Formats: sequence, structure tokens, C-alpha cells
Amino acid sequence: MSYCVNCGVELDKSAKKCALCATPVVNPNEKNEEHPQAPPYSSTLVIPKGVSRKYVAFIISMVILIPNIVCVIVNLLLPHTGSWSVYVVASSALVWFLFVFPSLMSRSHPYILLSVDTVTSLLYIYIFYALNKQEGWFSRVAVPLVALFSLICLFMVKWLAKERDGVHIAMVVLAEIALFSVFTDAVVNYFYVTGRLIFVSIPVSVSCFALIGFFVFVAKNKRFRAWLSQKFFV
Amino acid sequence: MNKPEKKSNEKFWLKLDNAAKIFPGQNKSKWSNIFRFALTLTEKIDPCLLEQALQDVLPRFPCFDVRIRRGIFWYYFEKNAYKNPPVMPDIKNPCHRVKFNENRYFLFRVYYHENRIAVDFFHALTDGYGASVFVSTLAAQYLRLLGKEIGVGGSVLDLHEPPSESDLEDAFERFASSKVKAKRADSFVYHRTGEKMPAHNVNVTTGYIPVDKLLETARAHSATITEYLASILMYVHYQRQLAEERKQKEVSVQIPVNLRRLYDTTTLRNFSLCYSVRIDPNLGEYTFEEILKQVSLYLRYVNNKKQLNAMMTANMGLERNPVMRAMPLFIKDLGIGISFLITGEQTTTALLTNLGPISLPKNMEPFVQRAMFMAGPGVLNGARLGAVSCKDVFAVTFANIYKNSDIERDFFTALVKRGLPVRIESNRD
Repeated sequence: MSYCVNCGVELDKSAKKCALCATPVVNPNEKNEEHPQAPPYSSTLVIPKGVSRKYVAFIISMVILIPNIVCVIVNLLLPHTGSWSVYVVASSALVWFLFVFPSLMSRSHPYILLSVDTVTSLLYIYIFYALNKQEGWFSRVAVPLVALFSLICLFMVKWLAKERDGVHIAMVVLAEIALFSVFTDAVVNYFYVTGRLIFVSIPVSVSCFALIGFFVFVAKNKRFRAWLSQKFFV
Repeated sequence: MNKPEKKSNEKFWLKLDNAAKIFPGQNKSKWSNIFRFALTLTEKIDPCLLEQALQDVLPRFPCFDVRIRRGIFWYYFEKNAYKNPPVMPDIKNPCHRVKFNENRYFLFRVYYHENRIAVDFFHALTDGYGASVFVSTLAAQYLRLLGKEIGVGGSVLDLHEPPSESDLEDAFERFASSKVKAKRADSFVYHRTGEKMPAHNVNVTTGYIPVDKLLETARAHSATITEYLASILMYVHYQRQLAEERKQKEVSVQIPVNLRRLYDTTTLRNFSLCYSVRIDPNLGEYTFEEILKQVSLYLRYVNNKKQLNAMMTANMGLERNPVMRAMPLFIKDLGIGISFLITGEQTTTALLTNLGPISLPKNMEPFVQRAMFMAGPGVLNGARLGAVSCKDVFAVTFANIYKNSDIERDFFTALVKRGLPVRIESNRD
């Protein structure tokens, strides 16, 4: 029999180290045993199967597909009601690509998903644009906004690949909100020629920068962080 | 591989007992309320004989020979069409989640490893007492098939006797009659957390202690073994929280009590209740002796028929409530799931369930080395302890969902420091 020199407990004959403190077992008397004792537990790990994601994706796809087919048929039978089923089908397709399509992948591919989501969103907006026969706003407003949003997402995917501190994540998200609001404001005002390039986004970005300032203070001041975690612990 | 045999289509069904009603609602894809009882014999287990023994024993336990079904308003048990669950080699991660359509629909899994017979039970089926009776009777029948002369008595039931009504009753329904409903503890308490093990994994660490020495030490402090161990468990958590230098929360240990000791029933289904004993570190510093005194006094105060009946009646109140009864099962499941998520283990720091001594027939004792009782892994609690004594060995088992082993170490080294020899067995690498 062996004892842990650190904990004082007797260890199982098969133990290579103490189960309580991981101190290695060194017992010269028990090294060359002819019939070493079997460990108390088998090494077989049984990981129960979870629900198949592909199966769930298939069920959801069917649930989405059936009302869409019904809508298309009804719309074809009643052509004088307009082409409203296009909106239903386009919206369903967008939902499918955003939420169901990722379940079909066995591994996560964030860059592929981001590219697919960007293209799908642009196509979705383009359908509305084409059906309403308004000129200009798709290429001058929708494309720049979707492109910037995708770039922000791309940056976040890359940046969050390493483990980041919650305070720094909050600061980056706030900076991105400020950037996106200013850009949206500028693009919309430029398109509609309102005379002011930036107006509505000012309170949003000022609030964001004030919060960023607060988080910078939190990040730098250890005592303040300790006080916050003591006051706000859950 | 042989196809499992099916029995005739007998129609036998049972309502879930009062305690069991919450467990199917809590059952999720990653966690189930499941526990283990194991007996280690003196010889290596033969799986074919064990399967034969299982087939012989199951008719004596009709409340285990069932599958779970969904009704409109409640779950219910229905006789299982299969003869027996498969007998499987033991695994590294006992008590992983139950799925109702696996294991030939049985709600208990039978394992063997070297000399050990181990059975994992879904808690809706039974409690620790019912599990110990089932496994002891199974082991006795296995030994008989090996040609040993094994009698009946204690935890070993007579297989020639038909199951009695008392074996199958929902004893809560019969005995819950208090005019007062006990209030539940509700404040959130301290938890020793850390990096979690991957899903479906659990660290199991069993300490074997000579029962006479443990009893002697507990008696020297005028305490029972349960009171003594609960106090050590509370003390090590209290010390850990102090070392964390954080705002101090209450520390509580949940202790299930076997109601069969106070009420006249032999039911093999659930018939236990949990009470929590707690200390508030904000009231001042505690020594181990102070904690032991508080635990002992509290446990002796609540462990009486009147208090327990009020707790039982409070639990039955929910089941008897007409609005609750009329709610469809999926709403009940949703409610149970949400309430477990919000409160669940938030109100308990650790759990200690002590089955007490397992009594075996005299002629069976030479063939049994020891018993082991393991509480199911928690969702938040790292320290869930099951304890049982068999012959002269007391076994206390930790089920820990965290990678760190500091609470186990503190607990067992506290026993060693008090002069108790502890032998450790674990599934850790």
C-alpha cells in the first residue's frame, strides 16, 4: 500500500498519483508486481449522444418550407393580389440562411457563414429595392451599410479568436456602435442631401465615448474594479 | 449480438410518487438526477450470471421493471416490455444523463467492473434506500447462482414472496397530513466553483474509513456520523469562502433524511426529504466545534415527525392543488425546469446523503467487501457526497463537476488530521 506524502491518505494500489493533490506515487516496494491491481474505474468514457443538429435543421426547414409553398400557390392562383408571396419567400430564405444554415455545418466556419450572411442580406434588400422600383438607394445606402456591418463582424470574429477581457470587449463594441452610427448618419444624409452630414449620431457617439472613458478608467484602476466586483457580485 | 427478449404485453402502470414528479421535468440533455449504489464482492463478476440474477430479481421489484411515459397531465410508469436492462462493463463517468428511450427503456443501468456490481438509478424510480435493497438482493441472487448459500433478511428481499402493496405505495400520499406547511429556505448561498469538467464528465472520489473509528470520533464530540461529516463539510466550505476574501454568503449543507425510520412503511419508491442546515459567516467567526454544535442541534430539532410531516405536506400541497393538477404536462415541465434553473442548487452549498449501515444476511457478509453510494453530480455544486457503511467500512463518495479537487482534499485531510485512516479511490487520471 502507498500513502500520499502530502495528504496522508492511503492510495489505491493502481494509483500513479494522489487523487486529491496529484502528488506522484513513489513506492519502490510495489514497482515490480507480477499482477498489478486493476484501477477502480474503467477508462471507457461514455459521452451520450445529443440531439442531431442536422435533424433539427431538417425539421425547422420543413416547418418553414410548407407555409411558403402554400403562399406561392395561393399567390399564383390569385395573381391580381400582387406579388406578395415574394416577400414571404425572401424573408423565410433570409431566416433560413441566418439561423438554420449554420446547423448544417459539422464544424464552425465563421468566415464562410459571414460571407453567406452578407450576400443573403444584400440579396434580400435588393428584392425589396427591385420590387419597389425606387432608384439609387440600394448601391448608395444599403450596400455601404451592409458592407461596413460585415467588416465590423469580420473584425470581431478575428479579434475574439483570442480570449479577451470583458471590459475590453465592452470598449470595442461601444467604439463600433459609435462608428456605425456616424457612418449611417453620413450615408443617409448624403443620399437625401439634408445639408447636415452628421446630426442624429452625435448623442449616440458621445454617449458611447463617455462609456468608453468609464471603461478605460475601470480597466486601469484595480482598486475601483475590486470595489465594483464587491458591490455588484451576483 | 442477441436481440433482447421481450415479455408479454402486460398492462401495469403506476403514478410517480410525490418526490419523483419533479425529476422528469428537470431531466435535460446534459444533466439528470441520477445516483449510484454499488457493492464490491470478493470475486470477479461474471456478466452472464449477473444478467441471469437480474432477470430473477426484477419480478420482485415491479416498481423498477418499468419505463416512463408522458400522460396529458402527469408522467407515469408503465411495465417495461423488455426482460431486463443490458448488463454493461463499468464506465469512467458514472451517473451520466438518462434518456428515456435508451437502455431498453429502463430507468436504471447495471454495470460491473472487476468485483463490483454498480447500478445507476434515475431518482424518479427510487431513493437511496430502495436502491440499496435492489442491489443487495441482486448481489445475493448472483451469489446464489454461483452456488453460495445465501439467506434473506436486512436489505436482501425474499424472491419467493410476492411484492407487497407497501413496497409499491406512494408513502407521501399516505402520511402527509399536517395542518401546517413548512416554508422552504430561499436565500442564495456560497458555492465553491472552478473550471467545469466537459459535459457528461464527473470526478468521483471515494474515501473508505473504518466505521468503528469514525463512530468513536463522532461520539467523542457527542455527535452522530452524519452530524460530524456535515460539520466538516460545512467547515471546509466556510474556510474556503473566508480565503476568497469576498462578501460572505451563507454556507448550507443539504441532508436528505430517510423517512422510513419514522413512518411505518417498506416502500421501495422515494420516501425521503431534504433539510438544509446553514451558517451565516456575517454573524462572526466560527470554530469547528461551534459549527458541529449548530449542525447537531439543528438536525435533532428538525428530525421529528411533526416537522417532517409539515415539509411533506408542503410538497404534497403542490400536487394536490387543483390548478396545478389541471395544467398540461408540458407547462408543468416548463415551470419545473425554470424553477430548477433559478433556485435549484442556488440554495445549497453542498449535499451529504448518508444511507447509514447496510444490513446483509450473516451468510452473505463473507462474500461482500464493501458498499459505495454516490449522489448524482450537480449543476452548480461541486461537493455532493453519498455515504454508506457496510460491515466495518464506511464509504463517503464525492461527485464533483469541477476539475479542482480542493474541497475533497480539505475534507479528507481534515479526517486524517483527526486521526482517522482514509483510503482513497478515484476515477481521476
